[in-house]
Amino acid sequence: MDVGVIWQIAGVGILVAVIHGVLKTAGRDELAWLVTLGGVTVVFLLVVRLINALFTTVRTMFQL
Amino acid sequence: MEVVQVVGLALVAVTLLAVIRPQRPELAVLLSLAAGAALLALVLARVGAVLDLLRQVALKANVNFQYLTLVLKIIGVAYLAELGAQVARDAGEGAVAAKVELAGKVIILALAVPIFAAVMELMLKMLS
Repeated sequence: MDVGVIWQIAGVGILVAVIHGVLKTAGRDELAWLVTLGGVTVVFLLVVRLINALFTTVRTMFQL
Repeated sequence: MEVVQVVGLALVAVTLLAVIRPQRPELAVLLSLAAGAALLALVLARVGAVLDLLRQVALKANVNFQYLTLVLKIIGVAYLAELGAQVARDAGEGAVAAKVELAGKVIILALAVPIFAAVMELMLKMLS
């Protein structure tokens, strides 16, 4: 799970960068912006799950 | 060999970050956050083993368990505050990072107040 998430995020980042570039050169600026927003949202969901797991572990371990 | 895992994960994350950061800085922040969380999760299992040992020693030495729990809580708060502050600083928001650190210090101080009060009470008892 750990390394897979890193690869996923990097893949989404590269994909979004490429699509953004293509759409921008095609003159679809607002669509490019939407793609960026979607990518950020997807990655944010992944990261939130990871952070939640980390916080739960820390909370149970240190009895916070 | 967890060291190999940790260093490998860090190398992969840093390489991917170097690729992504110029194009998508907002995704780079999230990627570095995920890498940090994954690294901490790798090491936390070992921390748990050390904490179990500490608890056993405290039980044998008849240390008041309340104090050990408090120290553990303080370590946890420091850990999380450091993580948050570093992520904020990594994203270029030094002001937010400073506030997170300040909040961590204040919370630790508030957690330590009962011990401080106990010490004060003991001193007053010795004086009178």
